[in-house]
Amino acid sequence: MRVAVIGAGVIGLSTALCIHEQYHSLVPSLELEVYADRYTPHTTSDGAAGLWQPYLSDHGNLQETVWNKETFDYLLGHLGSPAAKEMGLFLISGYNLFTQPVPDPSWKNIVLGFRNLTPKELELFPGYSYGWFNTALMLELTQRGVKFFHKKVKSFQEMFAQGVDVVINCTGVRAGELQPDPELQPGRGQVIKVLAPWVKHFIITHDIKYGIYNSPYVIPGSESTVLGGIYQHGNWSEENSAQDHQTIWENCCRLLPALQ
Amino acid sequence: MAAPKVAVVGAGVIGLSTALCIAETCPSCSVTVLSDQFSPNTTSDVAAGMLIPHTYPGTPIHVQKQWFKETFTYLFAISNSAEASEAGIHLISGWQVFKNTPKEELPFWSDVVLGFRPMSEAELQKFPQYRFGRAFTTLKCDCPPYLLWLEKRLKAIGVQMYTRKVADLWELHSEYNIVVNCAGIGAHQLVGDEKLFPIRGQVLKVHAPWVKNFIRDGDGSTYIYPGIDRVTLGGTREKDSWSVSPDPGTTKDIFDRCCSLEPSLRGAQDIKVKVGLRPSRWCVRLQREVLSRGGVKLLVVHNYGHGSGGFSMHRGTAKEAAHLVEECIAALQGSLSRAKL
Repeated sequence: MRVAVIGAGVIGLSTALCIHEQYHSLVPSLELEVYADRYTPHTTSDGAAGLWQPYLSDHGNLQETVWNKETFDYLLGHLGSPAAKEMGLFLISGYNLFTQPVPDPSWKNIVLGFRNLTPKELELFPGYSYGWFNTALMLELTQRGVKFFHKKVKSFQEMFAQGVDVVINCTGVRAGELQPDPELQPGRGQVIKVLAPWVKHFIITHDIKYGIYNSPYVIPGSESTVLGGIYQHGNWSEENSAQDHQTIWENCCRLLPALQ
Repeated sequence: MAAPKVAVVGAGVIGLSTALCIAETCPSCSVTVLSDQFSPNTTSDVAAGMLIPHTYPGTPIHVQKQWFKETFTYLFAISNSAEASEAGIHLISGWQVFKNTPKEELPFWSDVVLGFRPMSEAELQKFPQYRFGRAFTTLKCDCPPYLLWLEKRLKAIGVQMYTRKVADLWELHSEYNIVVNCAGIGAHQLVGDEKLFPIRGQVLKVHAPWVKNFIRDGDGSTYIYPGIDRVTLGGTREKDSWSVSPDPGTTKDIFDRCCSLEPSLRGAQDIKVKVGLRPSRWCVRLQREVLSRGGVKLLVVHNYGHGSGGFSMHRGTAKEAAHLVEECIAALQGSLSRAKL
């Protein structure tokens, strides 16, 4: 039984891992293969900081909230284990900042210690009058555990013609190349990775006017700190933009003067 | 009188911050720091530098709260400025966990730190042996950076610093008008204070950059304090032990205790062991004294005996010491004018 996972970002690899965990003893003939034209450090996931935090609103999509909770609880359960180090998994606390009061997010009871910010804490962030504090998780995926093929899959047919029985499509932003999907659009992001080991909290600002992730954010990893705040719907460019770089740097330094 | 000459003995966090406060409040003073040790070899360099106060039995609580508040406010402003990383000051959040419910309702500092609140059931699940806990955000002063930053600021305003072992305060009477004693544990010998005793602390400083939150056992025996480059794992509180040599059995014990609080520490690298002697006392000795010998007077301001609370109280006690120095100057000028009459 050949199962091919197409895509080796966080979704492809974790899906492959789940299938392996659940079926390798039940289906002795299981052959699990991962196909991707890009592997770490060139996947979309590698650009991400790795912070577990869903969008602010689930727009009534309760199934997503269930998936979010499952993910968080699964990761939390692995915290004390040896696997945590391999997964690059650790707890991190931090701030979500707003210029006006907002309703609590659907994930408020999923993360740990969710609360509103006190006036004294808000003094740290001039221009923001409301916010949340909570403890969440960071996932700096580095592990590869499955046999993989460095290859661009051009069609599902190609897989079946080779004798693959089941295809799992985890192709992320370029899924449209295998099967057109007008609802799928790139949300281009650019980040700057800096050395700022004194930063121990994530800080994510929100500006309803500009939309999600178009407002500065700072997310400390175990080795470097990610500065971001760019989200361009429909932009396929994978090149660094000097203007975006400037925007990120200026906005993040205003948010955290210590970065200078 | 000509510019009063003030000598500050000691170059740990207390000595340096006191010298800075004196220079700030008395710009006409000539301030000199004398110490046999400077960073990275002071007791302060061993400490994690967490702003979590320890209660002195002999000092009124409202005074301790004032000292802590002054210190917290001062450092909070630096942490929010462009100088934060050079000064080694950063915010850190975490948990203080208790196996038994603590006797006091709320510690005196609970409204000074940020976001102080009881831990939720979900948070406590991470600490199965503990029944109760508190979460808050506080500040950490990393050393050597903080001490080096203080030294830099002192140099910038003309304060001189010399490596010199002062064996007796009287050595200084001909060169200085006022001596400020910030000798920490050194005061035991320097001024013969029998009420000052060491509480030996051994710590490990490890590389574990994925640890972003502090964890402290409420009984103070075990703690994990992430700093800029290293995580401080502690510790011990050995009363009256003067040994500054690391003990290997203790190292293993500290490591095991911290790993049971935070299992991922098993992967910590490059473990360095350090020992410091907390200069402990019933209360901080923060007072003026006039020493007399053969008709000659020496004006002294004492500021030592901060025990486990040096970082938490340093700015508050430094400011008070600076006020006492001002009083000494007024007294000197008073006696000078009387002499002129």
